[in-house]
Amino acid sequence: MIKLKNIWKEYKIDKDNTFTALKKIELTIQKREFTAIIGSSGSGKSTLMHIIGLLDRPSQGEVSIHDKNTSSLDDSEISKLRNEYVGFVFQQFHLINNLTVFENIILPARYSRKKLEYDPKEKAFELLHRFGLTDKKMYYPNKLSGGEQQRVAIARALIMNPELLLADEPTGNLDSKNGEIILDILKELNKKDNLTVIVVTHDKTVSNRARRSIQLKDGQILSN
Amino acid sequence: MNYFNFILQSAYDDLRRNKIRTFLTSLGILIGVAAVVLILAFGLGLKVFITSQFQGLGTNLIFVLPGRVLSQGGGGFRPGAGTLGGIRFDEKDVLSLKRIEEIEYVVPYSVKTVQVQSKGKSEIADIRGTTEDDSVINNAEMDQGVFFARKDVEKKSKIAVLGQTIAEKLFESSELGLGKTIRVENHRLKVIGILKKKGDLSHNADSSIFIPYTSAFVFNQDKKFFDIHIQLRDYKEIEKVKEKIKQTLLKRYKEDDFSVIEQTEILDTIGSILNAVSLLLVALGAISLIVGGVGIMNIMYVSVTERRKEIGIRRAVGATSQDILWHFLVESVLLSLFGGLIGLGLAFIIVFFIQKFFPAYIDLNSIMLALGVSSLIGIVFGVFPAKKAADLSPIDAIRYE
Ligand SMILES: Nc1ncnc2c1ncn2[C@@H]1O[C@H](COP(=O)(O)OP(=O)(O)OP(=O)(O)O)[C@@H](O)[C@H]1O
Ligand SMILES: [Mg+2]
Repeated sequence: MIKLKNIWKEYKIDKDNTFTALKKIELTIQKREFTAIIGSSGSGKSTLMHIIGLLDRPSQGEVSIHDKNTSSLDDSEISKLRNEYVGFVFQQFHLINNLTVFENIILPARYSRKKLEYDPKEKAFELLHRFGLTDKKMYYPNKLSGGEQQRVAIARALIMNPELLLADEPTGNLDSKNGEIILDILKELNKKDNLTVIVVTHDKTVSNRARRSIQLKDGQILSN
Repeated sequence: MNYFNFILQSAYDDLRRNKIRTFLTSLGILIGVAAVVLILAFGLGLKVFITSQFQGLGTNLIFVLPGRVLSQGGGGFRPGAGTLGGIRFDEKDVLSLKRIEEIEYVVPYSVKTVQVQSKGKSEIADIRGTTEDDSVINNAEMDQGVFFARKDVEKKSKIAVLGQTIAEKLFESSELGLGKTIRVENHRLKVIGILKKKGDLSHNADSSIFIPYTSAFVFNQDKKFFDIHIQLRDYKEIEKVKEKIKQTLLKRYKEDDFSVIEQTEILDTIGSILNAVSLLLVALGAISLIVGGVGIMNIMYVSVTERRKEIGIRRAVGATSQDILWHFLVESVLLSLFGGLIGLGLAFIIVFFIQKFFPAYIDLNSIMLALGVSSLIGIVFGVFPAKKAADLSPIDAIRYE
């Protein structure tokens, strides 16, 4: 369902120098796969995630979704795809602190231009319930524990019923117990809800549990 | 919640979260809008004032007033300056002025503010003692009854002609007043006439009571007049006659004790002063609006920087760069409009109090202009920061801490 063809990402450092964060990436991810991306710090894992999730564009190469090349899409088309098709979970949670838990979760639906076939409010309540956050719905994120914040972030990622869930070190800021809970949720979403999940992680136990793991080194795929 | 409500709500929430900042930022627009609306209000009032002056008064009038009203050399008009402290004219002045051949009417006025009683009602009014010629030079139109005649002046008749407003105040309705008796300081006066409404603001005719000046001497025991109005046979001779009047009065008074001015002169000077003041206010208003706009722009830039990460998050969950543009643009328009509304409110309050002394009106055009201008400023000064926010790359924005 996702196909990366000859992806390069270069950053301009100054006038004469560029830094190549991704080199010649070829990658295909099938529907309902659970994939782990591993690699040392600076190897380009986040950069790759952002490109897969249409948050960033490659300097060169093609990202296709369902065989549709995205490189010719303009900002509003890309944003629409990102909105409907991808859910992001970040290491730093990235919740908006002056919105309540409920408002954070429903935020992607606010930006949706398509007529949803379900009521996003009901869906938000469902997700709150599912992740044990019902009594926290009027809280502001900075009053929540890290584990709770990450569950809010997952609920937000799911509000649009995306096909693809991208988690960039989702347990990186959590203790092992809470990290375990989050990983179980991701597993469950993959198994029960049939989501395609890609997780970036340093954690060997996670990558070992994943069916597929991709190792990056210096912007290149080392093993697949 | 539809898209429009969502954008509006987000902007509103952000402004509400930073109440003090919102208020201070909108202050420039507030002052600017208030100033502009007030200028328009005064402009309208001035128009009404001048029109009423020309309608209410006869033409070709020269006023003789105590004190220095116009400063030397045709300079500015100082309203009320010196008019209270100066001399008082008397019947001898009236007689000597009547001897100037180009003059047709010489009409003296005594003025006293008194408590007037009718059956069960008590009001404050100006008693103006004058001659029957007042009705001629001021083109007095009667609503009911008649103006008093020369013989009433000679016989010191205890009669009165009421302005429309005071008649309405003293009697349930002005029609009931005719033939009734009013009491002023233990003197009874019979109402023989009621004037039509004039809207004459300078002489306050609508709320004045006119009686023969001879009868008014019971209220002014020094038998003096406050001012004298003069009508010419031929307006072309006005400069010459003014000089003759001055020479006549200089035999008895010092130069600084009185002023001889034309009606149009007063209007001209009032007009030019108000124009100058308006210009000043327009400049102040415009500067304030621009400064206010720059203030908004500044704060919006700060806000874009502060909320960079939030912008990144919104982009990550699917906001288009257009959505981000709207967020910030709507916020700056709301901010500016908020200032505009408060400024408008302030102008309404000021006009409400000032109307007691000077006519000023806020019409629909001023309201629309105020709101239009403040929205426009919000757009013009908000669009650059909003563009900056919209153009942020999502990834750079979300990485920002
Ligand atoms: N905007 C940028 N400008 C220049 N260099 C960048 C930029 N963004 C990322 N890089 C570089 O690209 C490389 C890959 O970054 P990336 O964030 O993908 O690493 P990562 O594998 O996610 O690392 P970590 O495990 O520490 O999160 C890094 O060396 C980083 O310094
Ligand atoms: Mg990373």
